[in-house]
Amino acid sequence: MKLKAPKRQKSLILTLSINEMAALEKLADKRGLTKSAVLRQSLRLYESLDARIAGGERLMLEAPRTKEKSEVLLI
Amino acid sequence: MSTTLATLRVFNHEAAQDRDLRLVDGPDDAYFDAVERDWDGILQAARDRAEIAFTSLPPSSKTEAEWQALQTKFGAPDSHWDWRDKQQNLRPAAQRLLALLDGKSVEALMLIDLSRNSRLVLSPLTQIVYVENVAVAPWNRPPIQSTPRYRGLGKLMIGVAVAISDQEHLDGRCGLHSLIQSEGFYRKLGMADLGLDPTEGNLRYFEFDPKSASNFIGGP
Repeated sequence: MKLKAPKRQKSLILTLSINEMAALEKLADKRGLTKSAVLRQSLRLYESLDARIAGGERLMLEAPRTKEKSEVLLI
Repeated sequence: MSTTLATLRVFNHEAAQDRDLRLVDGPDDAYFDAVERDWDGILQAARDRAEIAFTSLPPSSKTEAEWQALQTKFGAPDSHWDWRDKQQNLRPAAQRLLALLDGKSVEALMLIDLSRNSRLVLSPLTQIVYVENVAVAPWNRPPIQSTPRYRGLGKLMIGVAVAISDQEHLDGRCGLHSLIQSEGFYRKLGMADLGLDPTEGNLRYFEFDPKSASNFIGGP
């Protein structure tokens, strides 16, 4: 099934530091994605986490060895 | 703003001819008016029939499983879903609401979330298209209308979810929690069964990996 891309798209000129750009390129390379795709996926995840945290949920990370939990705070 | 993503030719059993159905991303308010006008009354009536059947059961048979089975039997396991509310509370970057339209008639609806992670892949941040809700119009359900207007629209909508996953560089990965009565349907599509999920009302979780998604899309 071939779908048309949604037309409701807008462009953004984004200024990143050299280090940020390197990090973006590294992530894109690692995941086999374009830089735009990495940023779009990041935005979806951020939006989703933000909504869940606003709803009272907490985002925790667990260390695999010690099982120690730490809470991640979104700014 | 709504966008037409595709036009899909589907056989209409009432008219006995093919019809071009429009797949729309972000249907406008008029279509939710149509759902409330055309779907809700029929689904409520089906739910009422299920309730009457349930109340006539002996007390020992009045279980949650029996209630679910009766709702399925009468064709309305989703009568409590509020599609307008889902549209109004959409997270715009992560979620998309899609409709399959025959002119002004809404034939199927699906809500997807592109921010969820795969459960088949252990490495973090492998995103999928997660199908939050998918429903076909009441007249496309055999328990409600013996000769449905359109058949196979649920399967078609899952195909749309896989196609969006491909389009979004997610390799066809697609997951969902199934209502009890639909578990066999998703198994037949080739989705992996990852078991009951206590965090989602003990519903069973299914997921397509890229290979099974490709087999499904490419299959007959």
